[in-house]
Amino acid sequence: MPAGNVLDRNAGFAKGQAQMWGFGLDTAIDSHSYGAPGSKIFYVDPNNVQCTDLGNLGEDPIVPLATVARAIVLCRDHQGDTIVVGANDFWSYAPHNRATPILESVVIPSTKGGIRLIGVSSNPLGVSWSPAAANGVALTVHAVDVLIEGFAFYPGILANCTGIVVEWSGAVSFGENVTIRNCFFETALDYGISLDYSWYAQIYDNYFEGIAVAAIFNTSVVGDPDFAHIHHNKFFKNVLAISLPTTDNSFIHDNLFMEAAGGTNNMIDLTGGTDNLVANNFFSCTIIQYDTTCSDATSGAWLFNHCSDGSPVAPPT
Amino acid sequence: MEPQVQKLMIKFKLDVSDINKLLGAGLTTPKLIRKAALDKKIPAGMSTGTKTRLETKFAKKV
Repeated sequence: MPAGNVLDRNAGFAKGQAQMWGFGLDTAIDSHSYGAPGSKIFYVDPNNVQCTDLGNLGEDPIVPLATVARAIVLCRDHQGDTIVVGANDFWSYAPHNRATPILESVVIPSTKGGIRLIGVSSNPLGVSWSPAAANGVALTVHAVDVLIEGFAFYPGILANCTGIVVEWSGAVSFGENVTIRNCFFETALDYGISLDYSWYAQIYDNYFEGIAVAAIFNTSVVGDPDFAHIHHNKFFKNVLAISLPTTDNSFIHDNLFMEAAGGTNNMIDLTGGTDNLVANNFFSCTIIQYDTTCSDATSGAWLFNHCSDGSPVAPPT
Repeated sequence: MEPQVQKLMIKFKLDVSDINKLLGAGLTTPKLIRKAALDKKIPAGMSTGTKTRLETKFAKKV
């Protein structure tokens, strides 16, 4: 076993290594890559002393790439290619062994559809990833069929940052069918996930904490993120949780909202939308407050949701 | 059919001829169409009732 790949909590990659997170489940790396004959795995690990974008091909985990940006360049369009990003212990309170987080603002261009971007972390928060500079976006998706999981997006000391932006303009950006799961969006980001006319987003099993503007947001520069499926996420002390006005045909269920009970449209806002289904969510407000923290009855069906003093019969107005 | 046309047809439940009239008026995105509906500036000559339906639907929803 090469140096640096001993089986400790902050182990790096080793060839043939079973995936630490999701092994045996549909979150495992092999379930992404082996399903497509000829697909490739590109390894990124800035904490590996042998990492470099100059010369390394990225397909050998012992000599990985240094940046996600380089891995995206090497990925091919819709070939089942997967980018695996190695663990860092940036979050750890203990002395750091792999202290370098991902510090990049990356765009997946429309020519790189079908990429899987997987953070393999030794902690439940995911691989720490910050934008490169203030006012930055860690990851912008302009391609279809991109899957993102296993990252902890955080701003550090940077102001006005966003975790993930997904955009569809029909000209240069075609960000649609995105899957974002098992990610953590951390305090003081302005936005967790920002969607513009990006249909069919699958957003599940994520955790949003202390987002300064909105955790999941409809930018609507072009249009609305219709047909979204948002479920099993946890929202904790965000200014706005799901803010998707004018969005249609979306299914929002089984989410937990621990947000300000006295807020206005701060938990689920679908004002102006149509044909949505909002069901079986749990809200940290009373039935009376639910009428104000969520909006609204004309946006679709609001069924079997739950508040701190029971389950509302009527939809919010 | 262009993806942009397809998405607008689905979003607004319109046929392709009506979408082409919107595009011809420069209303190429949902954002622009909603704004035009709010301002009562959906172009004339669309299918029967369409202009009224859009302008009513988005009267307060931009």
